[in-house]
Amino acid sequence: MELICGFIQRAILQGTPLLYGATGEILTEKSGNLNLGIPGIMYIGAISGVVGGFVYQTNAATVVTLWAILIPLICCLAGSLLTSLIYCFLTITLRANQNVTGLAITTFGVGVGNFFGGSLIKIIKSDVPYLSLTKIAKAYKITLPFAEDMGPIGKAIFSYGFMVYLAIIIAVAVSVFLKRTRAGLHLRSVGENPATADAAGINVTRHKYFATSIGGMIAGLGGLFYIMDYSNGIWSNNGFGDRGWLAIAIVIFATWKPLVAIVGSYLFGALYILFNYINVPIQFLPLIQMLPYIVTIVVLVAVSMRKKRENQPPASLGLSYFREER
Amino acid sequence: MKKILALFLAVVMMLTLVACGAQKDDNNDASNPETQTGESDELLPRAEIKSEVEIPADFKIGMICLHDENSTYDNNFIRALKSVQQGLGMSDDQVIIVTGIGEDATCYDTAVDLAKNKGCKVIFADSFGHESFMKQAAKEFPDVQFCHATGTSSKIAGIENFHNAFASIYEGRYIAGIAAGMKLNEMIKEGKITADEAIIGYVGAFTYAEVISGMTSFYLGARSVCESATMKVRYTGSWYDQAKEQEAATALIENDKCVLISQHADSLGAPTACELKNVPNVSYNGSTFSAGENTFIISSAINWAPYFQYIIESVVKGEKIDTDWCGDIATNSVVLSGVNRNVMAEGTIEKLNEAIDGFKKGEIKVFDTSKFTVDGKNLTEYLADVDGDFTGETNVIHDGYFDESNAEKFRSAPYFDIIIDGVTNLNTNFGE
Repeated sequence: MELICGFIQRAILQGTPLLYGATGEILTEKSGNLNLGIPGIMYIGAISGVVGGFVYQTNAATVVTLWAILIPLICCLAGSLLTSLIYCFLTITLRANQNVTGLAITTFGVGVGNFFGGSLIKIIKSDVPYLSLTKIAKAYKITLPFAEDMGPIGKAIFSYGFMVYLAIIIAVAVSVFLKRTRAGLHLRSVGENPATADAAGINVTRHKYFATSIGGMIAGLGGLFYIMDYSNGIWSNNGFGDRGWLAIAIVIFATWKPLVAIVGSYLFGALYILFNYINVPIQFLPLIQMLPYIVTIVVLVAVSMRKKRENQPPASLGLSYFREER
Repeated sequence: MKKILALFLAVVMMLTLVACGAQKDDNNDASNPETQTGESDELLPRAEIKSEVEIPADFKIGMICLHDENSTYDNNFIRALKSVQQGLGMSDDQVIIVTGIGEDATCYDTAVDLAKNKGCKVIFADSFGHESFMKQAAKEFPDVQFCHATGTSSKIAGIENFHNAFASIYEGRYIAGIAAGMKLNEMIKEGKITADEAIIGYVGAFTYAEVISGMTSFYLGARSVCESATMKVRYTGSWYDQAKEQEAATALIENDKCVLISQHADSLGAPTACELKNVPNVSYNGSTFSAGENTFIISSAINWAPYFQYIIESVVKGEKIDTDWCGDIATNSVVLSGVNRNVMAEGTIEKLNEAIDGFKKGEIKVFDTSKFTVDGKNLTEYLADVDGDFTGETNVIHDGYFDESNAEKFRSAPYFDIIIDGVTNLNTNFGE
């Protein structure tokens, strides 16, 4: 029992950054923007939070919990917003190719992250190249006081910092927004057929800008969670890895539904750490680590073959909207 | 709407400015080693570089690195070469460091460029996979010396100007292991664990001899003071994967009931897991005190500076560089960080200093065959793979010990690949 609960706990921790990324990407894609820059935006979200946290931790005499949470959080949101705005400006205003722009943003984001990360590491002249923001991380890891006494099941549910629950809340909120609100309906119509939406008096550009920017900010939180909560405030260049791509895979896995993305993220998180829980020869590890991607391909094939309307991607996904186009 | 947006953007810009402006005047960071309080002075520090050899102004050394200084592994080389540059009074033009060179033909191209166009007299490459490309370049430029870290084939390659080097880091790991064993003893004494529960967890990258040699020496060090210690090992299949290392360490702690963790992989994953779970950690590659103020005990690392100084001075003096070279504690090629006083067991520093003296006097043999068994038996002979063809052919046990990393007789790169009694591999079976 303890083993299973421990496994669930680790899977949720691994899955949470993915959930932020996937929720952000779903919101973005619902506006018709295929943002392949999500891995880069998550990376920038992480480093922005780290820069903010670093400045605060090194300059503050004592670390106050509220500021320790707010400063990195705001910096993270600002950093990922700025990056998303670059993407928006290029793809919506200038109508650049979304795939190319997205990939460029990812490369750019990782570069920016490593540049600032590397620079900060140089400043502190550490023996081993890493930054330690453990004092800041403490604030992010505050758990409910009774979590420790609740046994394995309680631990698997209540033992996390606030960002784990925030990820679920945001995913549910996005789901409600898309399904149940007028603004959500407008956004979906923009993603399905912007010309019709435009004709109905919906401001396509504004919806695309807002959805992509807010989606980017949500994804950025995934990067912040990874550093501040999961990694206990330790930044090393490239430590975040390439989990941003997994987030995009989850969008397909979840067939553009945030609620399914919650399950999908935890499932992908579980597959990611599965190698520790089953005994396999080391040469087979890559096969196990391949599982999330195989699952994605299977879902993609199944969805494409069944052609069920509600499981399809937004009809104008990846296409730029130009009112005067014939 | 526009006003709100403008206001928001203004706030964002202000924050950005604050963030950028404040970075520069930072000098009181908690992770700065100089301001740490809980960590003792380094037990085996990097010695100051002194030399009587004058380096001519036209002498140049080139170094090829797999990644850049943000990689723990490469940073160790870059840092060492820069300290030698400073110690020998060489200018920046005389030391050319090329980073981000993969283990492919780019390495050959870079080596050729350094030899032909940049005029380097000696070229060093830091990654195992660079070896064949360095040999290829060495054949074409017989007047340039090509040195390669961690490689295995200089002795059998028959190329005059190609050399391998390593350090007997197992000595450092053995000493770090003693600190771990003392911590285990303290935990037993305090009643936190029973003697049987003294289980060490080890996160390894691959089941290579390099990792097995290191983990076994660490374990033997721990067992030299805590007889009941056993060790469980999980491999990640990667030299650098923060999340995998962290997860492997967490699984060792939670599932396998390990009470102390060490690692041979390059990220901060294992030390982070230890700090989060409040489990003592013996680190590698340099002090990770600031990532684990409550759990870090000590760290060992290879210091490449003595080798760099040796090859530079040899070339300048026109002397031959050893085909294969292995540094040790005596040559300052193995260094130890300070010990974390918050975590270490009482008397650790004294005990470790004794061991350091023992190594300097040559009294301690890490792989003393009377100190460990394999399948219940003491080894009297072991055919190790010294020539790198994956089959053992050379007996490396003599005079009652396994003669690891003997560059003169065998080779510098580790060849101890035996899983001894007391050590359990959890996620590999060597394909049996």
